[in-house]
Amino acid sequence: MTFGRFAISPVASCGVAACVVVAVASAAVEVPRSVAKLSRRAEHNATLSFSDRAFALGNNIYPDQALLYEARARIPPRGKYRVEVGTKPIDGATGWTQPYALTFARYFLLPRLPDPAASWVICLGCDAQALGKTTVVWDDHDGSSLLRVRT
Amino acid sequence: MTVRAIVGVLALDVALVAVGTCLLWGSGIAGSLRSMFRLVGLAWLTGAAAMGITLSLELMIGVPYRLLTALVTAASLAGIGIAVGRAKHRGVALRIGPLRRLTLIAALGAGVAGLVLEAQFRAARLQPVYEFDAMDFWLSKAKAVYYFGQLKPSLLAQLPNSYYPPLMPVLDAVSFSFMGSADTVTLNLFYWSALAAFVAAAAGLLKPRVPAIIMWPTLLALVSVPVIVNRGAAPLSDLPLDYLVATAALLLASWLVENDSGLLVLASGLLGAAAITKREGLLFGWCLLASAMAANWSKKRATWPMLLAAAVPGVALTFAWRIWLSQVGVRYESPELGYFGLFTHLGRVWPSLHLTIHVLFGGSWWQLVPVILVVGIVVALATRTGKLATFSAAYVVLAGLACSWATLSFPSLPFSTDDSLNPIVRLTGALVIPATAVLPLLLAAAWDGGDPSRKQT
Repeated sequence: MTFGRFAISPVASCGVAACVVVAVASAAVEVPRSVAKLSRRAEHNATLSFSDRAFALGNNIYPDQALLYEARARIPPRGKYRVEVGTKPIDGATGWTQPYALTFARYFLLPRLPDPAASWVICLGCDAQALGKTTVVWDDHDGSSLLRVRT
Repeated sequence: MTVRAIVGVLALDVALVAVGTCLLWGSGIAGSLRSMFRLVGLAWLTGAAAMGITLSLELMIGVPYRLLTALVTAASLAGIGIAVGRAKHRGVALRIGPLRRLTLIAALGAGVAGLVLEAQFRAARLQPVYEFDAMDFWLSKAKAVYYFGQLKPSLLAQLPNSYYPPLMPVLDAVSFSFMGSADTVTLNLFYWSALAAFVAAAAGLLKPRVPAIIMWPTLLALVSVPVIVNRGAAPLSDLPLDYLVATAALLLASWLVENDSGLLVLASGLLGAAAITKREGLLFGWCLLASAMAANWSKKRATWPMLLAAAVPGVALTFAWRIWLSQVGVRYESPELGYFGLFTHLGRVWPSLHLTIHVLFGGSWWQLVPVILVVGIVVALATRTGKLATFSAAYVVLAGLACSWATLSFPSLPFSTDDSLNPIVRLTGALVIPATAVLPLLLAAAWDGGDPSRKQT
């Protein structure tokens, strides 16, 4: 391709030139905008704590991230757990708490696996008495607790 | 989030480039040190595709995943590339290749692309995982491979979309192994590497074929669109799929003009990887191959069998994945209306098409890129640019129909551009990104009056 001369057809010359000009204009507008947007995002990410970054979407689901950090610290890596979301009031619960509590726990607590019969219970406003004899391992007194069912 | 994890991602990048370079040398695409350097992005994508395919197959046949498995697999793939290359280049020493001067425009273009990628890196470095699908199933699968050394059918059965193919979760698991932990924050950098590799691959493939004044504006317009800016480093499989299909499109377009079989072989491999990256990978792969067939209409007897053979890896890998799923008892979900729902739900046809057109031209998702694309194709068709014009036009039409078909065949998807309700914005990436990657070749061919036969390497 020789750029020292015009293309064979005037349609090609004008069309190719138009494409290049629009692409240059688009990049000239969008590149600074993108860099500014990404820089703002980088600044925001830098202000987050380590735990907020790792918990991420979970902050929209769990009222208290400490519950899952406690679960991760106390349930052995090969252990199993279940998530019980009850009807008792939970301070800070969102519309996502009920439908996605198990989904997020499954992602966050791996290699620990969910099991409906597990003795470890991640309790969000659940009725502990209905679970049988339980030991409260951790409780935030706002509706989130980590329980262990005694057999 | 630690320096160790970042060093781990860097080490993985080096390993993928090394594997890919050996395979490129074996395929004859990179024959000199200079071309290996120019094609470093292509080497990364080739290495990732080869590693992803091999490790996925190993998992399917029951080989447990460990860091050692990944290292042995990488060494074996590199060894295969070197062995084939040595047989091919017997008695020929590895050339350095002639050095070319970097033009001002090329330097400027590369610099601005570097600026955008650097901003992406800073944003990705500490970016939490906010993507629902990543949390919902992609990263859970990746963690399962990392922790249990297998896809863990009992866990898979609990996950939504458990039948989605395994390539990216497997590569995520390799990243975790190199990082030393399942650090989902630093994992963004692996996806950033994929973006950087794609830009480098496109630039490396286009550089000897088109002038910098056509290549860089097009690439810069593409990397600064909101879809890529917003999700360039998100741990989702959509953009990696688009990069694979786009690179395969570039290789196929180059093959149409230059008839170098190595290009077709590599494109076939990348399309195989695309097929087990996401389900639609196979669909867009077929769109590409059908477009190449349309472009080669006059030589169908000589070229169509080769193009059909190029579909074999994708089809075979999809079958292997489906057989594995059925063996472990995980149901593969077909489209809600089946594969021919078009004929029973004609009322959804136009709204589905309209939605695709709206995403391409009616919003800010892709900015002016689809407009440039259409103008470029019209100019190329008007000036009878030949195979490349037919190839690009056919791909845009077929991929547009494929995107619309996805909305059409799932009546549960509303006609919405809300990403949490309908994936149409992400789907159009497999149309826009490959077609835009090929656009510089098309424009250069139109300018040259249909003779894009500049030689590469």
